Amino acid sequence: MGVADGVVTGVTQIRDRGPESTSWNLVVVGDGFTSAEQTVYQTAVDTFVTELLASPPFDESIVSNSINVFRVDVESNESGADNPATCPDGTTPFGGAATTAATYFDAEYCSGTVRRLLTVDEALVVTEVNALVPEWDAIVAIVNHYEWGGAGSPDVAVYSLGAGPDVAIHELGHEPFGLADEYESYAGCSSGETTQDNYTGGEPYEPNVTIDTNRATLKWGNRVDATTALPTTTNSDCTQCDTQLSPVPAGTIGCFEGAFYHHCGAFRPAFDCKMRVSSFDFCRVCQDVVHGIVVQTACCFVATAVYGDPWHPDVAVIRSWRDRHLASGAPGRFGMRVLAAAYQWFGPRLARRVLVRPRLAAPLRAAIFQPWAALLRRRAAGRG
Amino acid sequence: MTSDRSPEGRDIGAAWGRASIARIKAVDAVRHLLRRPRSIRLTFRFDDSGIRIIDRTPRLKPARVSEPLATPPHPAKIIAEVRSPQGAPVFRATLNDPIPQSVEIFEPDGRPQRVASVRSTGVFSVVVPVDRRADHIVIEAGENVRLAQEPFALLPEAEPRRRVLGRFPLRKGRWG
Repeated sequence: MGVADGVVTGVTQIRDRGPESTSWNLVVVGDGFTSAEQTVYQTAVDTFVTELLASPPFDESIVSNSINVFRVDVESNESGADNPATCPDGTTPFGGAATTAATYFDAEYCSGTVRRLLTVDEALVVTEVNALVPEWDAIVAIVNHYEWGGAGSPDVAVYSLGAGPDVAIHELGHEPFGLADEYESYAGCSSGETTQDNYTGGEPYEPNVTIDTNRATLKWGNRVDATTALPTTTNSDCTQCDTQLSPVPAGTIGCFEGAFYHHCGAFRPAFDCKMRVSSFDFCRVCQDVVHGIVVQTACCFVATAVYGDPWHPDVAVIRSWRDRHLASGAPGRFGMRVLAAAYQWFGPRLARRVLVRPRLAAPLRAAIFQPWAALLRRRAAGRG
Repeated sequence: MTSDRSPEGRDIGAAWGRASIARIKAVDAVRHLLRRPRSIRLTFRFDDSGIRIIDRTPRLKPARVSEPLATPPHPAKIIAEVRSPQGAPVFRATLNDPIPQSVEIFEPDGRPQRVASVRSTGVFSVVVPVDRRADHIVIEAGENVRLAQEPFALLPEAEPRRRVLGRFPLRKGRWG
């Protein structure tokens, strides 16, 4: 089993948006694809990448232009994955027949719990990818099997061809983007669980769940419209999941009770989001987080490159202005939208230019960015 | 390694953009030759015997900026902290559930739920900066973190406080 059951034939960069050291690098590996099935694997990778890049905020040009994609080509000796006849959840395999397959990354369903849990040898995946693409930022493993399955682990998101990319994109939300689950139960709303009525812990670390519904201190307060009520929904029966429909239009950012595996006491920013149901898009708050990490990881924010420090106070002021006015979907006049489009095309390139010519940084800082940050601070003080 | 530039890659084709990328790649190649990484990815494996480092990968990409060292870590999270020989923190990263106690599964309609994990092994990675002050890295759990695996499990009567799950030298070899 394992490395004796296949061979890594190479790595192919299928999307090139710049040097690995200044890009966000996604690596896709496959398991259970024989040498004769490499075309199937390549199609599956292309499908995943297409779906990812169509999913906000990956569809924003400043984000997508920061992403490289590498496909690790692995030929397994046998097709498919291990799918046992019995599983503790009492299910039987899709199609009725158990399967065993000698595959390079040892993909298997069930993993001692439920059939839909599909795992691979994560240590082997990570060490292989470390050697092939040392600058990786995220790893997705696709398993050649039509039984629905998937799983997330700290470093590797796994899904089967039967499940599709949504599962993996949700798992990417956890790692590397650090988003919390927004769903309001642990074992499922119909499970009859009695331990998830009220969240009693402190403020969660993650940026997309909270116990704070105060407009002034809310983590995502900058995204909440002044006319949106806070909390936006409350659960009238904390012994179960809230069954009410959303009282606000889709996409509205507010505070919706029921999140972080609890029926009450914890709030999520949108009624629906990929971190609540994997078939939805990321909500605007989660999009902001993903956007920020991809762009900062890729060093595509000009001010970050100029200052060499993404947390410099001037950078923070300028980033805040940029997120309000230049991010995709930000409201604004026609001129501002043109400026936003120009920025999204020009920004990553100028940032990279500065990175390779550090002597540009000081004059740009003194002539443009420091006065700009000072102006933004004066305007903010004037409004305050 | 091969490189198949996709058709949409043509928008990178602005001349100075190409020159810029080529220059960065050249700089990266030199840094590779000179073996001057900006960061190290440490890959950890955990099992019933504890945590150990299974891979150290030098990277040209910088590590993410450290979390503030002056404020205490979140009590419900596990952190990785690079420390000096004197034990002073140099770099801190808050980790996202590196030793999962449950796993996430999905209904075909996309609704997730969690089930307790029966696996006691796994891997996680931490990218740390190359820093002359770095001496060792500590994996530390907050007081609200509950881990079932031996040897991390807290006895019920144990005083809840931050506890060290592993401590690893960074000065072994060229990149630690």
